[in-house]
Amino acid sequence: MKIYKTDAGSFRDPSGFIFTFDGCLYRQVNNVYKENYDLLLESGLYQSLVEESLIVSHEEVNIEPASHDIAYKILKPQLIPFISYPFEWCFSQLKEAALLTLKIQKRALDYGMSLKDCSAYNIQFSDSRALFIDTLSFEKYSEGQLWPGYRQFCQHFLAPLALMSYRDVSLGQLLRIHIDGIPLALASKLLPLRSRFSFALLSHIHIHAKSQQHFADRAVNVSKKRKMSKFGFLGIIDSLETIIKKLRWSPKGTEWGEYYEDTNYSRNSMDRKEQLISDFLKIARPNVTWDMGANTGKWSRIAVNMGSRTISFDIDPAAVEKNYLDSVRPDEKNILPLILDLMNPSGGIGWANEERHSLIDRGPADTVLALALVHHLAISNNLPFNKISDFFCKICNYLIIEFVPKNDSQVMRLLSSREDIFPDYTRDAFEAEFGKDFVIKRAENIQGSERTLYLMERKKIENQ
Amino acid sequence: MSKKINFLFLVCIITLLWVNEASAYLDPGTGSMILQIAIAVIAGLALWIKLFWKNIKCMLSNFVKGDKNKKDEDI
Repeated sequence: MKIYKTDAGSFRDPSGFIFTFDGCLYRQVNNVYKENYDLLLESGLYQSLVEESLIVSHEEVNIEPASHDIAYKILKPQLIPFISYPFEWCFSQLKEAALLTLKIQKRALDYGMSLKDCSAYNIQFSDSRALFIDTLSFEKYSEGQLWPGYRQFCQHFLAPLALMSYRDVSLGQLLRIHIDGIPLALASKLLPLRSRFSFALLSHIHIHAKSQQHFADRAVNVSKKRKMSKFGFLGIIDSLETIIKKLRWSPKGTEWGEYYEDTNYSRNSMDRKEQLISDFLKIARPNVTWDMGANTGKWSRIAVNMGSRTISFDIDPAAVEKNYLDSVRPDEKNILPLILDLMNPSGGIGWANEERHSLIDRGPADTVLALALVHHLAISNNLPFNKISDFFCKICNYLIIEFVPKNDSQVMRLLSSREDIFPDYTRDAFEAEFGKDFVIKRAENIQGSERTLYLMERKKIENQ
Repeated sequence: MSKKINFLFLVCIITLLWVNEASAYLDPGTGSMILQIAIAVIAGLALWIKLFWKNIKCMLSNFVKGDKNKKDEDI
């Protein structure tokens, strides 16, 4: 029996919703959105956006709707290979998403339409390109109408970018706990005094926060008379676009940004490691690779160059920023750098813990790279080998993992400031624990270092 | 209109000098809507000036290029 399943994060907009049927993803367009949907197509706006690859394309299909009595049409949208969330994006990815939203809003006005919301969750990344995914976000524009997406734009984009630029890049993680964007009162309080001397930040964040507080418990009669001219609307968009473009963050001085200048690999060791990874990937032949602790993506690109769609995760915003900027310039395909703290990966959040999916739910990958990683998990974070193995089991079929022994200089550095409470941190124990979940296919010493690179394949579970 | 400008001016002064404790994060749609109306006036004017200067610079640049081409032809 074929099953309909509505996406748990697609319930707010009465215009339609996302569902899966028979393993495929669809979008139902409801009758209430009929006029706007027809205008989106007939005005030429949709075509204009698709031609420049600014929005996901779709085709209209003839399948039974998920909710029959309210359905107008069913669309089969272009698939996004990996769903990522704003709190996983580096500074430049969030900036790119913001500028794309404003570009689409301006284009929509040219065609007599406007965006009814400006959530950061309307954007996804396909390779290194930002793409607008909410086809039903467009509505007919009448001169004078206000922009309902203004508050959301300021909270989802401007506030986090300003905080990352003016205060600290890690403040982008506030988007993880504030699922509708950073509250402007909080952003206003956290931003330094000098931010008030930017007219754009003064008005769109500080005064905006005051205005929200002032009118929070007041009943205001919304008049149907003309309120905001189109030129005024364009002025607000231009103001937001200008300030977003001016906001900068330079990825220097964080822990991992300069990692490759400070390792114990000789040139020969690096070459040998590269060759081994390449050989192992030729055996694994992954369609999808996750590189955990990818730093600036040096090893990810081996998988990328073999045609594997690669997600390049790292905890350090600086490393992810460098990785992303390196992928954007040549419009690199098949790589998506993202921020991830493996000790605290993105969990299921939002309503009923289902709106936004956990990392594990968005997997598994075919192959995981865990290079120069296991000692950070085991020693810096006290994770026993069996727990590490158990986790990797859930997210991959093939595992390419590097064991870094205690006599390696990086491990010695980790142990220099703490007591060595890791008597079981040995190569034999590592192989024994991982050998319970994985078959060790290859184990090769990286010449010129103390490290061993393994290729492992997950054992098949009998009832699968 | 003058009431709105007074309100905006007052908020500007207060905001520059004094940071309030953040209150409860309520759904602030109304405040956003009302602020837009005020900001649109200023932002629209700013955009008009920006486009005006861009046109002036463009005209001057074309004028200078045209003059230079004429001199080159004379030579």
